[in-house]
Amino acid sequence: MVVKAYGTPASDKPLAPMNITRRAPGAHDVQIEILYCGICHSDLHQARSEWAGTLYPCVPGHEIVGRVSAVGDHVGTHKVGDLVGVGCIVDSCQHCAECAEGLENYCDGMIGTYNGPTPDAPAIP
Amino acid sequence: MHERYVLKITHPEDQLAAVAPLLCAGITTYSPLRHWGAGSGKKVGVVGIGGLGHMGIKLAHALGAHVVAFTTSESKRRDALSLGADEVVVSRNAEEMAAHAKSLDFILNTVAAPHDLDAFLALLKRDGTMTLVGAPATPHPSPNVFNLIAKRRGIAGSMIGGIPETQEMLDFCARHGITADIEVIRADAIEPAYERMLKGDVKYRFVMDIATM
Repeated sequence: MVVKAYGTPASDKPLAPMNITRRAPGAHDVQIEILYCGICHSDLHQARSEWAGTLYPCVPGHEIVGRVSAVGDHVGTHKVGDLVGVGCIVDSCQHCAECAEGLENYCDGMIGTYNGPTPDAPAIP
Repeated sequence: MHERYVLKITHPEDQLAAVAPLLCAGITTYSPLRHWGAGSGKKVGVVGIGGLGHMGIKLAHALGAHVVAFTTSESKRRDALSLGADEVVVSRNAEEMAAHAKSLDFILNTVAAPHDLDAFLALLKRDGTMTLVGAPATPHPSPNVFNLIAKRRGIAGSMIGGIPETQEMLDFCARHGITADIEVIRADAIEPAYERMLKGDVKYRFVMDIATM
């Protein structure tokens, strides 16, 4: 699915409107109508590649709040209309000691909300 | 996205914009405050009063700690008190700093610019820890080891928090009426907002209204 975004194609370009492609929501996925997004200094670092390794195009933002607009068949924890948030983490390995303790932030396979190596990978089984 | 990483928000809907920064600034400060036991009977320092630090002050106060805020700018003294600090120290003032020597149980250091860590280590009690959550692009000057070994002090780091603790933080904030202090901007104002962030000219977090995109 194609969605509206605000991002940058390169470290020396300003942020501007762009369209990006996201995976179609899967059975465990929650689709969110984003209403607000906080702006963190790390967004600026990443958009301008001040930390190594920004992948472009880059759509910064990891203080996301909004309303659930659709849920997959197997989603049990959220329903359409709920107010929800998404922080810095959108995936992790779910096999390591850190994930087992709910410390996905320290998982070596953690995927960040942006600049993750597989941002639009198929839905997690 | 996968439901596992989606957090529930129970704040009133009219606070939604001010809840957004809790997803990073909130959990980045809540997690170390909890891990190192900030709470009743503890004297906790929060260094830097910006996006992270202003949340650190609010959360440490709500957790019941006695909060000492450290800032380089005299102009933030009153703000820090209204955010919930019990005391404010202008860190450029040696006398004010010395008044807190060897008295803090824990220091949450949110400053991302390289700076003298020794000045703050000297304020920790025996077995006290200073945890760094700012990420400087170039390293801090190496601290003096004598400041660590003399009182078995520690320097640590902490990065955001896990999903269960992030939910716990959101629920804690909803119960205590805590949100971030924000300035809502239109999407096309993002570049000027970035420039103002670099100058520290925001109280204390910009939030983009996605409806303006």
